[in-house]
Amino acid sequence: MISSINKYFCAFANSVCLVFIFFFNSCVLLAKELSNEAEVSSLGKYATFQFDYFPTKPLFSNNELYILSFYELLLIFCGIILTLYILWYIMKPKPQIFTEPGFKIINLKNNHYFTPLKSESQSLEFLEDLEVSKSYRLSGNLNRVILSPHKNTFLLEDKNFKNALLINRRRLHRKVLYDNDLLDIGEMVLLYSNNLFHEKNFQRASHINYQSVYQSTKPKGPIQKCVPFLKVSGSKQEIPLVKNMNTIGTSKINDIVIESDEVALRHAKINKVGQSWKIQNLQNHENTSVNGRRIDQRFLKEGDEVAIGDFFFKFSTNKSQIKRQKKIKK
Amino acid sequence: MRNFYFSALGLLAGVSSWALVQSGFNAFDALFDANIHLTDNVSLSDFFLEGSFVGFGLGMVLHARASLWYHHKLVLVLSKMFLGAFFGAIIGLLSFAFGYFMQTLHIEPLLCRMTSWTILGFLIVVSTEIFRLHSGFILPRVISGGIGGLIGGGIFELLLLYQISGPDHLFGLILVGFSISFLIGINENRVTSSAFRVLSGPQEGQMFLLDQNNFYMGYNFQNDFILNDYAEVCNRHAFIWKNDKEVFIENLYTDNEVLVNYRSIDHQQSIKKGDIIKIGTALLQYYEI
Repeated sequence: MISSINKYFCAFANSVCLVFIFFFNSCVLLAKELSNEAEVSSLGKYATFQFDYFPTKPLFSNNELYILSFYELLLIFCGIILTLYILWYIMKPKPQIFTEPGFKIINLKNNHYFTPLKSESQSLEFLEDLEVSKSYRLSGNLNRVILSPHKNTFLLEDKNFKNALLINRRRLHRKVLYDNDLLDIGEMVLLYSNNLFHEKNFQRASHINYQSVYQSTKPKGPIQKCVPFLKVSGSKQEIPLVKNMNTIGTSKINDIVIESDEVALRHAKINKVGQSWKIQNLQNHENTSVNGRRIDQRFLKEGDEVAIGDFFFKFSTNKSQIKRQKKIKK
Repeated sequence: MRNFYFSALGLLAGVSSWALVQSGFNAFDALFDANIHLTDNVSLSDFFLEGSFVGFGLGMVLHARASLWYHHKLVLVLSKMFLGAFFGAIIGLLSFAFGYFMQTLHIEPLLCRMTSWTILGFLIVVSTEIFRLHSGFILPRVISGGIGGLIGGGIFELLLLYQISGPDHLFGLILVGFSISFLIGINENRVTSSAFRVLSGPQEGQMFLLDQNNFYMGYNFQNDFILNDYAEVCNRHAFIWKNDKEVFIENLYTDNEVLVNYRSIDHQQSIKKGDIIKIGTALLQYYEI
């Protein structure tokens, strides 16, 4: 749409420019002829605003000079500023606010098409029935992706592991949806909106523990340089793996505690095997993945992305260790 | 749409400059009647002041052009208009003085006037570009401003040829403003092939067109793309630049994060069609028109 308008505009502009250039040429020629005819000697006449030596040919109006007064000028000025304000106001985008939870389609073809959700457990099959979705290729087996109501929002469960369904551009199988979460279903891109937690309705609790990942027992003394650590994505927090065996989960018995709905009490463990580190899933029905792939157990490398429930970590060995290894190789 | 909007702004600039010229002559006549002479040569100052008034009107609207398109706050728009008017008045005075200087060298008056118009168009666009020297798009804008001034001035002189004076200066001055802003708009439209769209929050639905080569994005009003109403956005957060149809994004400080497809980037990364960019709490989508 926009590109086609642009093309039309460019064509129109080119034609207008040609007309302008034609006019301008004719104007210059006329002026040359006229200036040859006219004999002007004094300098003062050049400098005046009106050119006396041009022929008098009133085309559109008579020659009576009409000059604006100061108050008329003020009026016109106010008018200009008002029209500028109106232009500013008209062109300003107004955000749509929906009271119900639902999905927005944010592909360019169907800009901001909204489908509200019923407050009962349902599958995502209803997307195939929409008129809008005929132009997209959706992933199959959408009847096995189930939305069930959960604390004012929805819980999304994907029972078919071969589906091409991404949540926040990551492959997940179970997630509680929050406002502005992104779903990729085949070619269609959906934005979940739930205005129950809109800024106006949102009230801050008196005390929030912002640190939702922490170690149950903090290591005493300085940490050795060769110790690897987990970087929490979205913050600067780093968790060193001091012990040889670290368990991860929601209960406080674990070495690394995560406060989340989607993490089990005793979810996973990371232990040292020889020189390398191994991650192991402890609950069969829960999801731990490395680099977007669901795993049972795997050896970790430098820079691997570990997902536990909906929390994401980056595993990295310390830099000093790498330097030391390089020195040994040399 | 964008070009239409800018040309409408140019029309408004022409109207404002016309009104100023008219009222300026009115004031001059009043002074002349009361036998108060500002300078010894009245005709000279008359000629200069016309230029300064025209520059005042044109600069006021052309300077606030970009901030009106991106819906910045009204205080910012008004301050930019004030700055533009100040610069425009000085530039108009200088350019018309140059035209007068050329007339003293016995060059044709019409040619002198045309050169002064082109210099006016040229310098006004330069003054709008002073505060964004980082955009690698100064030359095309400035050249198109000069050409616009030439065309508009030509039509103005053509109208003078038929002795259309008084309120009918309106057409000529409107066409000056129109042609300057229209040509700049054409030059910007030629380059734009991609844009960012804001998906969430109070600025939802806003479009950031990539019409230059380099951009800054952040909280501060000195940026090209302002994300004003979001938490965790730094003053100067990200730097975006184009290189042969490929667009790169760069994180300026290590303290804050730029997420592309929900993954944090190390220093810089190229972005593709349909990518989601998260800066602070703001969600942006990159797409090609």
